[in-house]
Amino acid sequence: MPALSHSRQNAAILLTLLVLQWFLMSDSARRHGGSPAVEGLVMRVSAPGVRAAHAVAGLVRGGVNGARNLLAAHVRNTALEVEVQQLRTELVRVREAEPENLRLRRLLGMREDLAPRSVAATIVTANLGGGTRVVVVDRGTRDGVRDACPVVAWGGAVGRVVSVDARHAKVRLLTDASSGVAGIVQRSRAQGIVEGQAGAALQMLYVPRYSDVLHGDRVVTSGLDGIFPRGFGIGRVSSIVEDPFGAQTVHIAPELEYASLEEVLILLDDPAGSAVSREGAGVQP
Amino acid sequence: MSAVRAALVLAVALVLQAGLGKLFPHSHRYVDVLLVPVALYGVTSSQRAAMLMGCVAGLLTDTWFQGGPFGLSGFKRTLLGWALGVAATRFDLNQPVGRVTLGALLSIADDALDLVLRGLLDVPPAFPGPVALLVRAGLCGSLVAVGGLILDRGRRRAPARRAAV
Repeated sequence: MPALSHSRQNAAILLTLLVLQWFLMSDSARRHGGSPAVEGLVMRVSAPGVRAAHAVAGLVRGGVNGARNLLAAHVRNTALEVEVQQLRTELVRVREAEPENLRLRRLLGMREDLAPRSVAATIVTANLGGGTRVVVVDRGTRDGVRDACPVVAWGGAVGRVVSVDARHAKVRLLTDASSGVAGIVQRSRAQGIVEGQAGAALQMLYVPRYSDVLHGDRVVTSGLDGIFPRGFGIGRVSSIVEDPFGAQTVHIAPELEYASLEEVLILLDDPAGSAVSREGAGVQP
Repeated sequence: MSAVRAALVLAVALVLQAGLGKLFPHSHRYVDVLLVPVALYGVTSSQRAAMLMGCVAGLLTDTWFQGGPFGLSGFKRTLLGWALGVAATRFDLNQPVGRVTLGALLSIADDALDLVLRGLLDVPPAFPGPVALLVRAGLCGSLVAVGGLILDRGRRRAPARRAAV
């Protein structure tokens, strides 16, 4: 009997709930919307739970997105680091190539201006200390280089070939103590022999005392030595010393920075027959 | 105490359903967490509790997750709670396989009732499709089984705590 009563109670509850909800449904369907009062009540009561869920889900989503973004950023960062490294390497290479390119362009321009055939060469080794001032370049007889070929660079005369094999040539620089080249003061046409001093400076000998030479005058090759064509820059007058024999010794600061030379141009033609005037146009940087 | 517990269970289910919806906007199509308390109370508690749980869970579903007539889910789940109470007196559903089966059947019945009621109310049907129906059933069965395990563990700990005190 109690069980039956219990069952009836349940049936009554069920019926009540169903009728109430049927009423809510019908009302809602008739209105084409929710039943504001009950729905509002349920919403108000349960809103904190939903808000909490949204907050937690937002945190989870934020965390997941953050982790995903972090991972993506890490991957991207790794790729960018590799790219930056590559670009850095490339930049160093380009920076390295830029002055080389400039020098080569100048050399090329100079080469185009020059009548003699020439070959560009890269300095392989250099000895710029002590009395001997020589460099070895990567061109030899295979490239048409011969003994005594004049070697120039952007900025002026470098020296001349003193020994050569198939692939390499040794160039004695103007600053070498045993080096000499015929020079001329560009402004006044005063001539002399420019010799090395086994140091950074050059000196121009046999310049007549009456010659018009001033501090800062530019000295270029005169072409009279049969080695260098005319007009390649040698340097600028840094000081003038009169000697007791009726001449004056002119000290010259070389135009070229020999220590920073990397490429040179070896003139292949016989300079005596192919000398062209470089004066005026000059081999000025 | 049992009312508080029921409220807590419902709150957890609501939080889970809402959270899932925020994380996965299409999750409502495949999982209905608020059906789980109805199933659990149907097999572990009284028929009246299952009906009330179904009523409240349905109203929560109507309020937060349904766009149809308000009260439709409440009506369905009240009825399902009553049916569960009847079934629980005849079959032993309070074991893992029974819970999984019950959860799955409950989900299918929920969708079937939805179709029928919408038809009666002349409201466009919202049938999720066979695949979604099966996925919902599978997930609901799994959730009921998991929820049952959690409830079982809670019940085993409670006497132990009381004995320790």
